[in-house]
Amino acid sequence: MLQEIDREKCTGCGSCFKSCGLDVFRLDTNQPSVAPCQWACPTGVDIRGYVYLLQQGKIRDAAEILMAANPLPALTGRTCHRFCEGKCARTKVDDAVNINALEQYVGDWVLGRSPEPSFIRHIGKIGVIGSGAAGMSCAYYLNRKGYAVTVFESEEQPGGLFRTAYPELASGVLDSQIDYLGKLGIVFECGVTVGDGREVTLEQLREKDYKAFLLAVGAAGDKTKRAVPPFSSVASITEDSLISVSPGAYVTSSKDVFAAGNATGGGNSVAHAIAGGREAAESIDRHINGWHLLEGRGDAKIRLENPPGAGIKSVPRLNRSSLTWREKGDQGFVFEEMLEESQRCMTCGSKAFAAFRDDCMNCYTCEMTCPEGAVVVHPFKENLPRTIPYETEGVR
Amino acid sequence: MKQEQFEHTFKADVLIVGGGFSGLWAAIGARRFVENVLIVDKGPRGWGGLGTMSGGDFQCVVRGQTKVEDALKDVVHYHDGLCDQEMIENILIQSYERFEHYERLGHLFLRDESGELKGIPQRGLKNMRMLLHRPYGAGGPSMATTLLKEVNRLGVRRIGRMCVTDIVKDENTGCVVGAVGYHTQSGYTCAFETPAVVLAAGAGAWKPSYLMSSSTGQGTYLGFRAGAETSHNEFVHVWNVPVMFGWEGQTGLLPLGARFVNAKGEDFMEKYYSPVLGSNTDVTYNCRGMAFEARAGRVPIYLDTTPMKPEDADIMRPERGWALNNFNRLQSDEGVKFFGEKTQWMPQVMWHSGGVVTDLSYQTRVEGLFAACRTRAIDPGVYMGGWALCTTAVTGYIAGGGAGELAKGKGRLGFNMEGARIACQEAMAPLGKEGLSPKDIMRELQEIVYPADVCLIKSEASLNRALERTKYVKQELAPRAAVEDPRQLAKLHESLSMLLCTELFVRASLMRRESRSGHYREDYPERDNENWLQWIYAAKDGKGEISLYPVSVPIERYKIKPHKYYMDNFTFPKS
Repeated sequence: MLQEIDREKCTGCGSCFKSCGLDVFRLDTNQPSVAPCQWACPTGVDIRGYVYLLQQGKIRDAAEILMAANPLPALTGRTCHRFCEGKCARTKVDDAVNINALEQYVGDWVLGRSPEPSFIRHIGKIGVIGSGAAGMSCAYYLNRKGYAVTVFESEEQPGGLFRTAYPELASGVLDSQIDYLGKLGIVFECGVTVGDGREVTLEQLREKDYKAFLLAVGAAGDKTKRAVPPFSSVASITEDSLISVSPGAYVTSSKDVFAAGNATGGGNSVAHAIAGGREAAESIDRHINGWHLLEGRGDAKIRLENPPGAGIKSVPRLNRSSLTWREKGDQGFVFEEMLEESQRCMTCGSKAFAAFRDDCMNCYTCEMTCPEGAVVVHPFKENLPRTIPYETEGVR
Repeated sequence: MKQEQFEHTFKADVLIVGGGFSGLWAAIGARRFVENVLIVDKGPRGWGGLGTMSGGDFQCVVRGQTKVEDALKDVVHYHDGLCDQEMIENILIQSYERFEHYERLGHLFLRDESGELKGIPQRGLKNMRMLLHRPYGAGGPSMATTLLKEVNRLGVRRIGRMCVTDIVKDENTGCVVGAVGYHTQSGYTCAFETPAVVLAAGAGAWKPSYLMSSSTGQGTYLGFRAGAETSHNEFVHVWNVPVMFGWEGQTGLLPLGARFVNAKGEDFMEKYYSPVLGSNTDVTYNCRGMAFEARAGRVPIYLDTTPMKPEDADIMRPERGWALNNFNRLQSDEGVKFFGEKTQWMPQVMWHSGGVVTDLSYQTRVEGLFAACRTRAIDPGVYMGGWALCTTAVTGYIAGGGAGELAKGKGRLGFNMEGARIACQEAMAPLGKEGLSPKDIMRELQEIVYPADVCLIKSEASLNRALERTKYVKQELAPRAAVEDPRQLAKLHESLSMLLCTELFVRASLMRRESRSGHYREDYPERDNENWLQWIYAAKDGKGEISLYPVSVPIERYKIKPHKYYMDNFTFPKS
């Protein structure tokens, strides 16, 4: 029977969990130290946590963890710069886990299901100006917190940079993503300009019971073409035509006006914009509830020091559409590819435990597979009903 | 859990249930005809099944060394006449092709200095020879790696942690159109659309806590529920094992001098078998001897390795794999030297010999449903070293080929989604409820089958007691089993197939009123060729209950007319 798992030695690689024929092991991914992938991710997704759930085929639970930090995995699963993969501990064994494709798998799975509308429990409305990554992210989290959110978009169709910079997304997944957000209860008003001297002013919206605003209007490369100036009455604008916000709180010089994404000059990637939108949503919620904007936020995290890698067997990275039998047209992973690629994740820093101890059959697979010598099997087996009576306990 | 639709649907030309050696060979066979072959397994995707723990040795009729007909004579003798000669002959012929296939793929067998294959005769049968892989302990993993590499090269799809609960048939034609099940870690329901299914799920077993704990007769369960016939149900395979720990290689210890002794230190087997075979006998007969010793109060039983020469002990000392870890830990933590001392041993029921009946292409009477190796009943409760690894290869390859050929001709047939949904709902019903633990159901079944008067020295009275208790489990306990987690749901389904195997075993044992091969009836200790040179088939009747009926062994058609019997080597006390 399984005797012990040395928690000090365990690096969380999941070799025991993945190889056990009787499925005895589980991992605890909820640990104080942060895996290298999560550390590198601008949105701070608990990648080891959700990929561990994917390893078990638990797509719904994985989506919950992923979307707690990034609400647009179908889009980022296609466009993200993959900060995570660059730091993946697996690069020291063979190649990084294809986190991006796993993320796309979860995102596509989510968009393939019709969501229940969020329950709106707040009376006042929130206006989000701009429907790119930061705007959609903020709208999503405010909607999940129970706010009625309207997203204003000056173009005829929502999506911001996703639509203009990635034409291949435009007709398919982007529309599905916006449709999904619509089903949650987020209202998109397109072809409407908002700001000082525009079709709709913030002052008019305030009169219509809008309690707070997010400015997520992006930033054109050419600073003379930026969409920021029409907000100079509510926010201070920098020399570069960007909106100035207070660090960590995303609030402008007006208490009820927040800003995120490229319009604030922060980060310059889809992932940074999503993180900004999410954090601004948190600030807006705090503002409306009259709570301090920064209290208890940004808790100090510990970076994992010794990720697994030594003694891990090389397994080739699975890329999209790598199986020959696949039916054409769908570029993402299918279920079995997702399972296979997710198994490459070493869930760095997790801790293994015996969840179904009574099924151990003394095959020693876990002990032989563990690269750290952390798993110890005792040679004595389960006490079963006997075929013949016995009088003496013990070996002899 | 209410199932409105399947979470995942899969389309395949051939679906193989079980990713052990049989299933892997079936995939290799099927890929000769079709491209889209899918293996599903309850275990992890990459493990290769229980064969990984085997010695990697291979029973083979080596061309130029042995004649197939001589080997067939040996098996007919060994099976006491109860032998499907056409099937066994086929296996013996093709054993050499699969042996060559293994070597071509990179799993090599031991040769002597002159390059001749070293065949070790089994159970005193001089034409049944096992080819060895060395070093000791490395063979199983080597075979598994070899086969996994080959199926990867062939682009075979594999999904782990998948439990198949029912075969789906077309309502009008009765042909296989698919299967349903669920992923055991997520609980997501799955539908498989396929015209051909190969059951390669191993044998029935009662979870002996030693290396055999993953197969529980789910092949038999699926086949029986789909309407296939089963046979050999009255036989179980009883193995001798150390009481406290696991050990592999006992059949090599006895010819090299180790002896089973009773509490008085007597080599008790001398009393029960003829000097012709010496210690090199079938394990079932050794275990029956142990049971008689126990009845006489001369327990515990020990394996005494002190008579072994040091150089012979060296041959049997584990060198690799789990066996080495096990041996090292026994010495360091428990002070067990194993060699040069006595350790307590006992018989343990390792697997059910019963399985699904097929034709020579390994198709059952349900069109599109195939079965391989231990899911296809072949042996009457006796077992030669290397036989499982031979039959997994040969029968898996043929069954997969048959399934592939059928699928190629048919194409996909359209799926009865409504029927599949109902079957799946029934399978998922115990999830998320409070009820009896599947482990406790299993323990009840172990307590029914494990006593020596049920598995080794049977009688009308003891079998009737077992049947009553089985009925109680079936009617009162099993319907109350429920689980919180899909991982445990898989265990519940294992307990249901164990329950079916238990009932099949007890009922067929009651029916066979004679003794033969692994089946020993104390109240009918003699062989009865007049009435019982017959198989007992069992299939589902109109009400879903077990119907048993005898089917004659077509001796008139067969090459070998049985004239000598392995069981006649032994004499056991008459009551």
